[in-house]
Amino acid sequence: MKRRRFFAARRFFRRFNPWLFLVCILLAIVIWCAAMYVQSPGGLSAAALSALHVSV
Amino acid sequence: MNFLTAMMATEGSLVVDIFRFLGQKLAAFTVIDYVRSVLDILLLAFILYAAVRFLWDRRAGKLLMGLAIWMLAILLSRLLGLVAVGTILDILSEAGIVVLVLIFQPEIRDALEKLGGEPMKNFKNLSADMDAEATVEGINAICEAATEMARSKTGALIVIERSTKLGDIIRSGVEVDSKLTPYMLRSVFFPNSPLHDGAVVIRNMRVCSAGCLLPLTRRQDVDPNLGTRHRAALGMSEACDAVIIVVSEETGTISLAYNRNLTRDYTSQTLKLRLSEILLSTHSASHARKEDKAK
Repeated sequence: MKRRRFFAARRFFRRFNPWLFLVCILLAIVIWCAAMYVQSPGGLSAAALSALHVSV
Repeated sequence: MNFLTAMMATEGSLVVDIFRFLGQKLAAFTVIDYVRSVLDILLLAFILYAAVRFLWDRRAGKLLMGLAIWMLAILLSRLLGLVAVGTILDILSEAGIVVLVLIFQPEIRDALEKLGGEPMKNFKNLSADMDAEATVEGINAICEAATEMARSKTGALIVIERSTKLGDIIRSGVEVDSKLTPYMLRSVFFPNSPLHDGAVVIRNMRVCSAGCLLPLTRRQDVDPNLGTRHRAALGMSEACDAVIIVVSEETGTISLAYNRNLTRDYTSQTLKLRLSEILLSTHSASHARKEDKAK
């Protein structure tokens, strides 16, 4: 069981792409900032978002 | 041009506004807030990474790229004030969510199955040793039948069900529900027998159903020499976590499809080892290996 977990972990790290993960972290930071701003009381309301024509 | 300048100015002020807001917010953060935010970002990054890796080697990867280009086109049409193109893109985008769900339906299904399947698989491993004996017997029967059929160049397609339930595949054939023996498998695939065309599905190490229809792979990079039987095996391995064994009618080679991969030219011994590795826990697999060495 332990050995199988070890091999699964090794397979995961062998396939791990650090550059892609870095891009994902940057994207996550951008999303996080946007989410913080939108959710804050003084941030963008739904009306302001639609006025800016932000489409999903 | 005036519109573009106005748009840039609006967006510029928005970016400045966001940075100002974030500066104020970060200044008021406590240590716990920082830890929570870092955790939040890392978790989100991991979800994004997993989603990209999941879609990367699937057809949906290209669709995702198409979607990105589509969104870029909408953004550009807005920025450049292209009213007619923008309106058409807007109208088409309104039905976008439904279309997205329809297009990504297999991937959504696959992802949810994986999400539910992996933890359940680990949970199931706890009781895996209990039915190891039956699995070893089943593996022996399958290997013996496959070797015999390979020798006589009898085509066969055997699907071993694992955590993904194959009820829909089972219902496409004729229910058998018999003990798994080499003779049973050989008589099902005996040429011109009523059930020889199609696949046999094995559930809980019993022959559950025969003459079943399997989905064909849509991959373009498959060896053109492979026939429908091998394509069906590969298609099935793409759709679920089952193990599929194919005996070629033309060459008499034994192949195994598992986890979107088709490996070929198995002998009785190598097939037994591979099946033990997949179907049994590590302990039992090494036990089977020792048994083979002893022989």
